[in-house]
Amino acid sequence: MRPGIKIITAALLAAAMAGVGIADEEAAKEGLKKHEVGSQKLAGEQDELSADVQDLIEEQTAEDVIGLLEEVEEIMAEVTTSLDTFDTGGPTIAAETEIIEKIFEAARKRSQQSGGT
Amino acid sequence: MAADSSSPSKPKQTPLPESLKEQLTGFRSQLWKIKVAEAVLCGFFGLLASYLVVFGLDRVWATPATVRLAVLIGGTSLFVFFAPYWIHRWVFGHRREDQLARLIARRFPKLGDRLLGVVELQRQNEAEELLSPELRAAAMKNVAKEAKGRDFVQALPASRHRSWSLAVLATFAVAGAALVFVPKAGLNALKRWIMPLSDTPRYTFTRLEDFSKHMVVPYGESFDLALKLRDDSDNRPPLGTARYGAQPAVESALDDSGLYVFSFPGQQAQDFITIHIGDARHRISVEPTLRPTVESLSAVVTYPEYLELPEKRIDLRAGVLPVVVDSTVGLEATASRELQSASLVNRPLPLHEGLPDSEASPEPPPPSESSLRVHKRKLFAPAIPVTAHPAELTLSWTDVLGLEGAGRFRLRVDPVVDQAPSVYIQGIDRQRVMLEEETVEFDVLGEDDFGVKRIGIEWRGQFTKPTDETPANGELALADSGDTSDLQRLSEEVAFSPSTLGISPQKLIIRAYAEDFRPDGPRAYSDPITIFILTRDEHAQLLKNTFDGIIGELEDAARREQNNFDENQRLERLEDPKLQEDEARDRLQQQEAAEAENTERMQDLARRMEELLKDAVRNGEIDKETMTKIARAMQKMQELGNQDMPEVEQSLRDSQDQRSTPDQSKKDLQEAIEKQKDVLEKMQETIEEANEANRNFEASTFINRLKRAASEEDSIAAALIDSINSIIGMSVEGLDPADQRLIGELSMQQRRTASDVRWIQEDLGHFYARTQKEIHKELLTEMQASHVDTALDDNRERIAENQSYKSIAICKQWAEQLREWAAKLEGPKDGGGGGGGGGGGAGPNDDDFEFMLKVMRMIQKEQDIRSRTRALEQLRRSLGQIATP
Repeated sequence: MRPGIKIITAALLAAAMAGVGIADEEAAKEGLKKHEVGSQKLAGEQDELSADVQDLIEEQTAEDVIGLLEEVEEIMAEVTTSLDTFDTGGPTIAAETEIIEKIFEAARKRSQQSGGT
Repeated sequence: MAADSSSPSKPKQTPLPESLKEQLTGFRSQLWKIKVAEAVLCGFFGLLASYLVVFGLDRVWATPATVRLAVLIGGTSLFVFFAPYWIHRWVFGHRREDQLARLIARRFPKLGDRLLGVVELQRQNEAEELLSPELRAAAMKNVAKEAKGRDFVQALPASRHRSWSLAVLATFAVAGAALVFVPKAGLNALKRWIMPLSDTPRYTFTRLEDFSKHMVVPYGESFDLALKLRDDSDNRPPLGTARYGAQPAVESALDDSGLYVFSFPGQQAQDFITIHIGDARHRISVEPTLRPTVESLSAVVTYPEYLELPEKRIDLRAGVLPVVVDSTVGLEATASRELQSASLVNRPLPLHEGLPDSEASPEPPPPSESSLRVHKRKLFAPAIPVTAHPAELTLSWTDVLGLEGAGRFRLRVDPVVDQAPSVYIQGIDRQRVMLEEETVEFDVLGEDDFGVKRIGIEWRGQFTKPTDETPANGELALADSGDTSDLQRLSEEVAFSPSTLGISPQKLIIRAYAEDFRPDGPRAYSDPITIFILTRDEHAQLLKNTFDGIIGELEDAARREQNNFDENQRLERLEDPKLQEDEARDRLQQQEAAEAENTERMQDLARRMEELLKDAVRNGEIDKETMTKIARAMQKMQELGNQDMPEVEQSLRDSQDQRSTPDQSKKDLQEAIEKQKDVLEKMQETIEEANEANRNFEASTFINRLKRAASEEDSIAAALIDSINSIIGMSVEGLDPADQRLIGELSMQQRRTASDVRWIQEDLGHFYARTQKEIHKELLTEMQASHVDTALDDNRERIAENQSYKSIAICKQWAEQLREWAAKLEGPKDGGGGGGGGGGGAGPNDDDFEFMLKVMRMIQKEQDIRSRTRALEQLRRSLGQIATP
């Protein structure tokens, strides 16, 4: 192979490899953007749900149910902050699980009180 | 005479007569000659005879040095000791006349005595006057005269010199003959005779090549002893014999190659083999010893580079080693004894059937043999490349004792093709419907024989309605080999959230993929799963269909319950005693079973109703009243299935109790009938409530769809108004690129809305055909008359052409119209709802329902948020894998 052709081939290979690298980088960037947008969207939804909880608290009369729902609201605020800062890791998911558990707990309390009256 | 007179006192001796003197001298000479000859001949004989003894002994056995020394000493002792003694005795001891006279006296005693007397007379020294000399002379003469007639030779002792001469001649002749005719043997014997203590080997006429005097043979196994006759052997005996210890002798004929091969049976005790071949005699010590065995054998497999796997040591217990092609296999073995040598034969076999893609020649290459490195008890085979051809490796070894291994070790190396990985999706149905905001979870499991490099999922979208949108198409890497130590198995839980991945409602085919380490190896895919991502309207429609199914089954359950009720009533009419007869009891039993079956059905329906309610909550667009009705129906179904119907079942069971009196049985049956009557009423109420909810449900979907279409039109109008200053009066080409993009997006949005409205019309037509509700017919007629679908399509073109002002007006106009239609549908619903809900009325129960619905919705929503958070986290982690492939 002539030296000139060698250089051209090497350049083409380098360009191809660089192209692959760029494509990966772009895919990563795009994915990262998707993650950020998705996380912020979830933060918004969590915030809306927090407002619903607030409304629900106002309708309640039982102290313990109110207490539980207030805790739920608090954790929801925490999750909203996490999601707003793109934190989708284990602690955030754990907090969300805690929210679900506490809402269940509130529902149980409420149904016990209804059954009792 | 004068002389004699002058010395009268001097003794005078009388000499022996001359004749006698001559006779005695002759006798002595003869005696000496004979005895000296005897001594010399005897000495020679001794030497020759001892040589011949050695020669003779060597012909029959390897005469030991000590024996040869003894023979030599014996032979030479005749010369050294006997000859001098003999000479001393006969020569020195018979030199004087008196000694001779005594010898003669042995043969001739009288004569001998006279001769002895004459000799004595001669020695007398008395004075002349005492012994007359004349007298002595006369006496001597007289004896001499008498002796003269005798032959003294006869008085010689018996002589053996002739015999000795013959003996010497004979031995000389024999020795000479030995040296002349068999010079090698003669000279060898001479050398061994002269130098008995030298290590001159014994000469045999039969001569064998050198061999070890000690041999180790396999314990308990028959063995051969091969001895080769030397080419220069003077004798070539056709047969040889060998004997192991005291066992019977074994014979062997001389074969053409000059070998005697003796075959011995298996031996267990150490002993000697005595060999007789011609005049050759040999002894070999034999030590039966167990053959060396391989105590452990392991293969060191080096995988091809692309697999990125470390070397693997495999203990070989079976004779087959499957190894991936392009690997190398080294062998290491430990023997039971120190090794001398080892070798390996590599015999490639014909191509394996399982390797169709192989480029190798179908004919196997020729076998090759190589010697192996040994160190003490270990042997090492160098790395053998694994090709497409299977190979049979035969390992053989020899220990330091020269024993070959007990059985050769054969190992078959089977080339294995690095198979494509397999991948599965688990934990999800093949088909699934979901909302865009929902998250489905499933597991992806990838497996590969030599390691999974990466697993992930791919999706391809497909719209079920015409649209300009591009179907979703993407992939997500889930895990790679760096995440686990179990390379052969890689699994990951997937939280698939369309909204997180930016996937709009459409039909989605999802496949999991797995990659292994093969260079350029294609991905393996799982069976696909199909996910229908629905809009809320579609989802609501689906829920509606499910609801229809549940109501149908509920009606069916009610019919069955009615039939059971009728039969129970028939039984009740029987007279009391008959109720306890077998036939009646059988019928009661059947009734109980039928009730139990229906109870199960009701429980299942209640469960499905609960699912439906959850989905309805998730949908979020179903109105509160409908939800409440669904929840009420569900609650009643749960009560029926878990409480009311089991009570009927129990009463029926009680009525069959044999311990009960006829009255009691009747009473139990009546109780069952009473309860069943309540159940039937409750079922009927539930069906009515469910039907009402269903009607509301269906209607509410139209309402919601119409409302959404209206809001879509509003949003188009709002977007155009927002940008009106920059777009009004401009041609599309002249617009700013951002505005151009906006116009394109709005045009597409209008197209989608037109399509939705077209579907609403079609669905309304079907709905009316089924429900025959006038309101729906009216609405359909109105919509068709308005040509709303065409109008919206036309508006899309206007938007695309940037006729913004007109487009805004039309959007607003149709938004208003769509809302009116929705309101029209809502109107009659309010009235019906009031009637349906009248039974329950408003009160604390309603509050509870509402609270529960809100809570359910919250939980559902929070669960969705959690699932989507998980999906986002998965996406984030997969980005790390893209960045570091």
